[in-house]
Amino acid sequence: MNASTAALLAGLVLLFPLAGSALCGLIGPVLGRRFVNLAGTLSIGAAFVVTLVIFVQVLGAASGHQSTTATLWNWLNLGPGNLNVSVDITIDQLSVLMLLVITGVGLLIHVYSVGYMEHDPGAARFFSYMNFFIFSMALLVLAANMVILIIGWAAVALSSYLLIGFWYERESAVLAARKAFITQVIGDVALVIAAILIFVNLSAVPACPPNEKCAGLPQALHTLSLPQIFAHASSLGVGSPLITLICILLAVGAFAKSAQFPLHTWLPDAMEGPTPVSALIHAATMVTAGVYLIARFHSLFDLAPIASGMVACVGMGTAVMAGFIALSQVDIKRVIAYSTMSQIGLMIFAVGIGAYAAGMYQFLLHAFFKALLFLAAGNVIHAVHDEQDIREMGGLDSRMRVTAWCFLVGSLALAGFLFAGMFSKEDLLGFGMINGPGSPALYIVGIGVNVLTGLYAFRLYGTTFRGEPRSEAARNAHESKAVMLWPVVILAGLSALAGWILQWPVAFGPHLIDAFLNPVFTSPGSGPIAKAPQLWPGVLGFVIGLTCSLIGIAIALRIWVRHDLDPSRALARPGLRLLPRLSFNKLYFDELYDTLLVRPTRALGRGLRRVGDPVMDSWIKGVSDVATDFSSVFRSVQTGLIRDYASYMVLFVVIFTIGVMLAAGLAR
Amino acid sequence: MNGFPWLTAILLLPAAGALILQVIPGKAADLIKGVTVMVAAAEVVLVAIVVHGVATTSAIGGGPLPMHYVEQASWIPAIGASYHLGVDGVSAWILALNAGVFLLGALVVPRRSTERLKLFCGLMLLAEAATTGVLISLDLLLFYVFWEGMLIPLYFLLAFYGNENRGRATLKFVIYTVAGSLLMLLAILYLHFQALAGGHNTFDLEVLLQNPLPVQTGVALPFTTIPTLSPAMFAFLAFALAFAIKLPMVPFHTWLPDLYESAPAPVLVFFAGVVSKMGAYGFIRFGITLFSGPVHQLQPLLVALAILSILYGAMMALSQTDLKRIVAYASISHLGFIALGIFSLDQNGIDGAVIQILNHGIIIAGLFLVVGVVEARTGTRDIRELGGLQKRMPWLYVFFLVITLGALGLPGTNGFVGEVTIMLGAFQYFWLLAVLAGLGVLLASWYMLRMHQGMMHGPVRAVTEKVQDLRFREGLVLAPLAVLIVLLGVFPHPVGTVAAQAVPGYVTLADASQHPVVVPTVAHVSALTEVEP
Repeated sequence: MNASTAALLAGLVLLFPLAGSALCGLIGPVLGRRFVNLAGTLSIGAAFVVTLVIFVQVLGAASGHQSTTATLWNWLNLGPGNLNVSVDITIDQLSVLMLLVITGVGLLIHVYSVGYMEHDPGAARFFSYMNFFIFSMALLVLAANMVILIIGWAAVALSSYLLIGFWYERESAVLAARKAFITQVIGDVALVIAAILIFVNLSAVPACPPNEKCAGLPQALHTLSLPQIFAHASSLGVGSPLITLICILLAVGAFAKSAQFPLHTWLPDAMEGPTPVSALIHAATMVTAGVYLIARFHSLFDLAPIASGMVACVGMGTAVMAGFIALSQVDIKRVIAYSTMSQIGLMIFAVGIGAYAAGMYQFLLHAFFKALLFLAAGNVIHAVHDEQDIREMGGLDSRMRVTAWCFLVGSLALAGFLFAGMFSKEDLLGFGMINGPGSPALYIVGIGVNVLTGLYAFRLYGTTFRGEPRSEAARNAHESKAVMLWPVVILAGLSALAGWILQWPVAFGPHLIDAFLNPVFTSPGSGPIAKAPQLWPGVLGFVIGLTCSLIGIAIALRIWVRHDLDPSRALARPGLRLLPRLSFNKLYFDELYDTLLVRPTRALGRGLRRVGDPVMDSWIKGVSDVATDFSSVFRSVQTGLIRDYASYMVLFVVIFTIGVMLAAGLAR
Repeated sequence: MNGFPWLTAILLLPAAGALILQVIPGKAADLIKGVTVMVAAAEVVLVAIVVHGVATTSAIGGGPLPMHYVEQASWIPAIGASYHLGVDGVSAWILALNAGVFLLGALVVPRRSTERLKLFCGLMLLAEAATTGVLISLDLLLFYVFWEGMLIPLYFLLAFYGNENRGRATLKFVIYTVAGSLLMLLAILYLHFQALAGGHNTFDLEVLLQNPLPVQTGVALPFTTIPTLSPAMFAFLAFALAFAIKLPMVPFHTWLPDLYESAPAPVLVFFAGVVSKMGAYGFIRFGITLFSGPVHQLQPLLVALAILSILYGAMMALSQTDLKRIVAYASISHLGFIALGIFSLDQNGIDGAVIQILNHGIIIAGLFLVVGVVEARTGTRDIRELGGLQKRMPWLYVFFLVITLGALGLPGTNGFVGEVTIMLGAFQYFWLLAVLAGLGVLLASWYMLRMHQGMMHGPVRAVTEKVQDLRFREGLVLAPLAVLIVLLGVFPHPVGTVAAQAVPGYVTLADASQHPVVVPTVAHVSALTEVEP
């Protein structure tokens, strides 16, 4: 692919959703529902088709890292040695894979939204925001300059903010949107500072003209172009404090976007948005942008083992934490939100140990089954009249057969048995056995996450769909209409089959995504990546992982479906009494941040308001007390008499004339 | 350029407009407003031609600061004062901002208050003429005349047309600005006499720059440097005080919230959009160029005040309940960014400051216009009483959203361009500054969203129950601002390029190492003190 083709195709992928957003937002309310539905979905469909064209081009090209970079326009040029940024896009295997998920899963969710938002008066606004999100996400993954990446990064946060607060009359939605946005800004600032550090420190030995002896001293490059950064990443030092700091800042950006500890508290609240939003943004795409970021900056992370190790630990820690919290949440969407957090933790763990392709594999399959779970949950919520508490559900499997079967497929895929999650999770845990900090310590934790996942996935399935209905709404629930079922069925098909297809013929070891993506991570300038386990350790790991998943599932089925196992007595023991409460209250993170950060800041603001300005004002009070005559004149000014304000004119003129005369006199 | 005195034309046009208004009968309100708007529009066209000229032609003059459209004539030969005008990459976009924001201000002059409308419009036009003069004067005395001249019409506008609290607010404003201005005049005289001692009877900036003040570096101690108190230092402090008050920098800011609270909408838009930028402009053109030695010695203090402005303004904005006061403190915080960029004395930082001057002018004008519209509709500026406006005013919501995002510096809006460039410049001076500025960015998203969501979201309240959406004319005023916020965010290239043309000259001048240096060492000082008794 040459640069102009790349620019054209990437431009189209960006343009279609942007145009769709503008059409829906500006003239959608006038032209009505039918237009909005068409414009909102066709724009994404068109972007998906263009993405397929790009995919075919990349696939058809020779092997190796197929990276094409093109400049769309100059953003800012402040002269040599200063900030120079152009709007560059890059197309390679990594960005294509991301684009396929963004536009493909995005298209399914947009179609689903036509049904879900049918009775909402704000549908035009909804599709406008959703289209804008697709645009932002595409910009983020296509960007080939760090400033442009940050612009995409922030645009994603903006669309997330708009969609979380979509029902803006609800106070809780407004606060959730604000919380999400401000957390994202923490990430933005971290990225900006990382960019500044790179800009200041990146250097290269200038090319030597032939037949000349060169001093060979490295010179600062002063660039933020991603290909340049990756090519010269080693100039930042291998394992140096500088590159460690840069990578930690990048990771903070990634943690904010991917809802990892300690910047995770916004994601559960983000469930205030409409359910398709949760599926698209807070499960399939946006929250995985952090994984993408680390994978994209792999050249830097390869050189910073301490930062990578931290990333891996945070990822695995979040996976455990979120899995633990998911065990006792009662809101159907929040359970899935915590499971998302947990699964992304695994992805972050994977990219932290250098198993980038494994992380992206998990991203791809997770996008299918998590979008499936959310959309199916959306059908449930619709059917039980906007009830989200799973204690009010139950017995829905006979009332919503298709949704229930699809949800079961999704739960199995999530828990890692038979379907999608089995392949990707065991793959990345296999890498964890022999790579990364403290391996196999984190691997053993990862095995524990498998048990947790099986537990909370089938607790959710069992409580929602099995047993007897526990409310009137659940008793009267009925299946959703076709437009909301087909996307769910397609996603169920993808969740069930994608792993088998990509992994054919064996369920462990190298897969097609590995083959597709590894050229990116082994391209010149990259460091060493994680080694895959040998055959028999791999098989052993696969069996262990699968067994743990099955243990989790089996325990869950006994507790929440067959009811022949009651954990309440075990949990009432003194040592364990605290656990359910910690889990239910999300480990008190919200309360902690509120006490440590929000309240003190507010109090400081109030205190300054009371003290700051009055103190700084005090000298002026002194002046005005002395000049009481002054103030009396000012009072009379308000009467509007000409002579009063004339006197002020005179005052100024006199002061000025004296000055000039003084100057003139002294000059002679 | 063709020899046509473009700068004199843009200087005189508003003043001529003010004169024309005097022959119109006071009752013809539509005509008065029409003429004002026409003059403002014509000014925009003229300034656009000038900016285009600056962007496309190369500067003339071999001096340290090459200028465009230079006009020079003798003014007061006895003291060497001259009528010396010029424009460069630093002032070009500020001129454009001046003309553009004034046009918006003229458009929102309420026609209903026919009472003294003629005086109002006349004073507005005079204020515009004066700010234009400030931006194009290359003679210090001429600059001072316009600097003072700018205050007089503004003072009357505030004293006559402000709301019920105007007395206190105007008093504060006058005390502050008179204090600053008088000291600055003394400093200008000092510079004049220094030049005179060197054989130049002049107030001309270019001549003064070619004969720099003797520089004393501070007394070097371990870990720190004590600034020396030279006459040059006092002169700089005098200039700095005048500019710091106008900018304003904490702790010289307390006049601003009171003033913004009481000013009428058109004056407020012009004041916040343009007049506050004059302090920043003054620092760039006169502060860091004429006084490179003192600036370098005081640089730690100056950047500390800039950071203080950013954080203090942000914390105050977070705790206010009055919309105008929130915006006023937000403005102080944003202007702190501009000051930070300037005092980084780095090319990226100063480029960023120039870019941010333009961008902040656009954003703050938009914010005050929105506040004005909301206050006119609901009768309140108390954020606790507002809510649910998005439902009633969807078009206002769209514009306000864009303006809010610009104000919190979202990447992709114009607010980000200046901020990131400034942070880059500040980082190169001292890394911690960029981190603290980042904290300011974080707080900005907090207080802006608190304000935006407080007004727009939540259930519809009693005061917002019956409000109407924007009228077409109001939309016409807000739309260009919203468009510019996005446009200059995705394509800041024209602004950056014009600024980057001129800024290297300023950076060179600010670099004290270019000048002869007298270095008193610790031994030196102790020797002096030993001799003393």
